Amino acid sequence: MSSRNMALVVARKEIKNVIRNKGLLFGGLWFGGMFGVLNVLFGGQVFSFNNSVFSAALLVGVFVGFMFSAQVFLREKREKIIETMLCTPLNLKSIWFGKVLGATVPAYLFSLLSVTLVIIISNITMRSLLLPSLAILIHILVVVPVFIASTISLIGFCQFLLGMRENKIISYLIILVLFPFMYPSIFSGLIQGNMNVVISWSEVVVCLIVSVLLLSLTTYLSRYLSKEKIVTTIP
Amino acid sequence: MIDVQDLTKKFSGKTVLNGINFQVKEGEIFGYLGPNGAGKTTTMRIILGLLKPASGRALVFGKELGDNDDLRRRVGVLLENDGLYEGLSAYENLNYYAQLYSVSDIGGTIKNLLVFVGLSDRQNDRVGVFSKGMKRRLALARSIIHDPEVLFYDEPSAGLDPEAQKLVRDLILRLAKEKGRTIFLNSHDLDEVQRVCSKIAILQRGEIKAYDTVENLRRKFGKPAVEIALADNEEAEKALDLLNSLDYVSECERDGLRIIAIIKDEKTSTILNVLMKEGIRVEEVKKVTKSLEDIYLNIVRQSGEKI
Repeated sequence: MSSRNMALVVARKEIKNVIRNKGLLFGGLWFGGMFGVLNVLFGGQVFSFNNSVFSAALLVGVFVGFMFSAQVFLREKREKIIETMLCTPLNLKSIWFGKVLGATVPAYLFSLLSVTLVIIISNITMRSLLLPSLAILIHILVVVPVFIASTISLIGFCQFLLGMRENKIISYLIILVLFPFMYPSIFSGLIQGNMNVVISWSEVVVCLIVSVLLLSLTTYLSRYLSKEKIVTTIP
Repeated sequence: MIDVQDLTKKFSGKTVLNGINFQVKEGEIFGYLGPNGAGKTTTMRIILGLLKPASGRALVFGKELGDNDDLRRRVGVLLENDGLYEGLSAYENLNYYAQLYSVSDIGGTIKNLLVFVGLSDRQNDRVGVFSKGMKRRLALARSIIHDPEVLFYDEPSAGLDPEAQKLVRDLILRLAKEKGRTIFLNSHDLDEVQRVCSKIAILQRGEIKAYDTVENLRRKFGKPAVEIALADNEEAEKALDLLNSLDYVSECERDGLRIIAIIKDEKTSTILNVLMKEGIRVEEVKKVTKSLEDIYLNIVRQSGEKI
């Protein structure tokens, strides 16, 4: 079996594992669902329809992806299962790629769920037919999955490379940074000025460039990842 | 099959393995013994290519496992963790690893293995609901799913109840005897090693203190001893003083009516005569064979390790 097929075996297992983790699923549904509902119902002053869809797709995907990466990378390391995986014929890159894919697919599905909720609730509350612009559609279908994959690969890289304490600090930082953007209705005073822009092609292209840069950065950093680094940072 | 040559490993400047040398031949069950922190797991991790040595080499099939993906197909492992996913069923776990190792007849292999470890009726149950012993048995099945030639087991029965320990031990023995597998067994369970292993190495503070077959170690380190059961408790002190005065008795220990005398030569009958001449009534005299535990404790204590 080729390395790519083996990575797909890993990805399938990760997806299955995520889907069967009820706590994780509930968490994903909570953040994804609540984002859509809260921002449309109470954040109307902050977001236009397209802004809501743009940020729902991106932020929910990234945040849920971050939650899933904790299961896919960190938990496997904390429970020392990764040691057994490193003894299989898979090379480190295949394991990593399989895990990134395994966390990205369900995170993207949650992102789509959140977008669907935003569209449905907006249409109901506005009592008119609202559909995302072409730029937003491209954003949802192309940019968002790449962005989610790039952030998960970077988070996964850190989770493999660093010890548990460092990973805990990084997790708190990610939550602190993402949370105000997740719920602008709650933190509207904090971010209103930044988010009250009309989303156009330029924002979509900027997001795509950022995600490609993140992927390049992680690919470059991956040369510093080794079995020894992973094993010696297992708690 | 496994050839470890002058292996040294340092963590943050501290030497944790120092000049380790041993060989494991095909079909052998090799016991790697030592107290916690002696460097057993580090040695195994280096052999498996998870850690890089500071110097020396660890070869399996004549090559370093490191990044050799094909060579790793011929090796099975059971480390401290079972390597199982609790959210998946027993079948799904084995199926996952079978795919990673490109096993040809996955269904048939899993069925046979589940019978081998006595879990065929639990194949669809989630591993999360399994007892520790059941997980360990499933992990044993996982470790041989690809029919490897060499197996590396790290404390395979640690934390299990005696019944589960016996089951795991019997499975390991069956693997060696019926399937002719070479097994590298990390353990600090002397009883397990004594029952299972043909050859052992005792590791102490990163250095091998003894390396031979169990029988040869007994011969080398085990001093001949005699156990004397006295009939009367009041004669015990007199018997102890008498035995200590004999030049061919090097050491005596008393435990109630029993005295253990370490002797320079096997002079059981002479000891009996001396005691009887002094009017000490003896119920029983027998030679005592040194257990692996005694040998192990002797070696570890000689090195000044606290147990």
